[in-house]
Amino acid sequence: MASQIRELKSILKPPRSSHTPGQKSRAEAERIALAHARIIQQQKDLELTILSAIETLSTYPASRSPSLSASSPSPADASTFKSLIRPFQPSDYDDLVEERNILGNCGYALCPKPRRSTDQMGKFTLVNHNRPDFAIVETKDVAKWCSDRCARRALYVKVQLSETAAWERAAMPEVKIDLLDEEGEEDGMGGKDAGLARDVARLKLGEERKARGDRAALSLERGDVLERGDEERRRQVPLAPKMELSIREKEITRTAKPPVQEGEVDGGSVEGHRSIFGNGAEDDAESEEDDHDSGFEEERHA
Amino acid sequence: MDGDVFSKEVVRLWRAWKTVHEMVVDRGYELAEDEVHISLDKFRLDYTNADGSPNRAKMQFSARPSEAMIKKYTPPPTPSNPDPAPEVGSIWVEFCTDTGSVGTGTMKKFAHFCSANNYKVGVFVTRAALSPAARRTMAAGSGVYTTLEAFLEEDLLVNITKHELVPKHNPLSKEEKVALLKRYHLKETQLPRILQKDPIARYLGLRRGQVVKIIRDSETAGRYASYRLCV
Repeated sequence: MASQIRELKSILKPPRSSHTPGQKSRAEAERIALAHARIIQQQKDLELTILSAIETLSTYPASRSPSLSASSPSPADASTFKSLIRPFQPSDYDDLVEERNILGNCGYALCPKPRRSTDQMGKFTLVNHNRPDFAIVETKDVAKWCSDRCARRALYVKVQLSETAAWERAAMPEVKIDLLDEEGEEDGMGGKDAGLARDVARLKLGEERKARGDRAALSLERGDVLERGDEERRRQVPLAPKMELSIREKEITRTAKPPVQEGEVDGGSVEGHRSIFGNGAEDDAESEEDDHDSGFEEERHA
Repeated sequence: MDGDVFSKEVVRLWRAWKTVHEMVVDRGYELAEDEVHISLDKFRLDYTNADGSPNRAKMQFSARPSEAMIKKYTPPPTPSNPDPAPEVGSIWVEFCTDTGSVGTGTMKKFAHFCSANNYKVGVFVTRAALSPAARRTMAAGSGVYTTLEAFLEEDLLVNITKHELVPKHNPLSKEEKVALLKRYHLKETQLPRILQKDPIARYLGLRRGQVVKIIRDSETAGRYASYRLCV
């Protein structure tokens, strides 16, 4: 009895084997799992880098002396700041500002001064007295910085950061950070010609960067390994599962011909279809005429 | 009048202190009865300065897991691992002395202290919220060995498990979990879920993958048990 029941056919559809993408071999599955694990690991590494950069920058500037200030930081500090801030997203930058404020520093990482104290201020403050951009803002936003000038400097850096997460930037150009005061100084010294030269240089740089970005995007699409630094080079992170790419040419059997319109050439048909009004061939012809110059016909009838 | 300035804060701290002790006991650690149910006068005597202000630097303690807890958290022996080590260790509780929000530096120091002294769980009770960077440090510091948890003093003023609408939650051991899944022919993912950040899950210190048994009162059935997987 039991065996009979087992032999009965199920009314349900048999599971379609073609629907599932086939049993992958163990090695294949392991390879894919490893590739994904490496991507996640790389992501984690980058997050840790950002975290340690926040920690380092929260006590910046490293070198303090009376001659150094936020507008003229020591070159070493400025360059470290620029390199550390590169993988940041704007939200990470906000975290950095908050972290600096907790320690009582001005939110701008190259400023050695403490931030403004909020003791004597109320909940809201007036900024930009006697100027067109006068505003009433919350005190806690103003108290993040030591001065309005520093706020401007810090936000100038923030707007240059990329919204894309650091680990998704593989195919994108490197973020280039400028400091507000550098720009100002250069303008002051060079005048118009220097400005023009700088623009040209920047254009060239931009082109180069674009070409590099295109190459990276192509290699990403092909599934090449990412080689960003020495550490990565050792680990060889494949960005995407590598795919087999083979280019096949279609065989050509005859020479190319331009398309010809079938049917009559004098018009009246829409893609070979002639619309018919009424039910006879005569009517058809008449209505056709009507169609052609209906305005004229109507006048005659009148 | 001076005492009044601090009395409110001291009472709040006393309640948080009591709740955190109850939490530690509810998780299965060993604490003496008089440590848990401390009276306000005794608390004032022990943990306030001469001027009546609370002394948070003194408010810290550690506890060791009880026999029952060690048994519960020891994975079943396997042929390859006939004598598995229990997955629990001592717990360290500390009240943060920072007045403002807690930064990375403080959190890092705490993480370092916990791992240096071989504490399996570190509970950090803070007055103000953690900064985003500190939160990330905490997540990064919660490695394979040490688990770090942070609570606000404000959240510990009342013991949420004593509320009449909160049913009893009982974490299952690994063997019990396997038995449950076998009994109902379930896969892990087919269980209802509870988030790790759920207040009760945080109170019990649930780990991802742990199953908690929830016993509710039911009008028709008397008692009604359901199970949830911590994710």
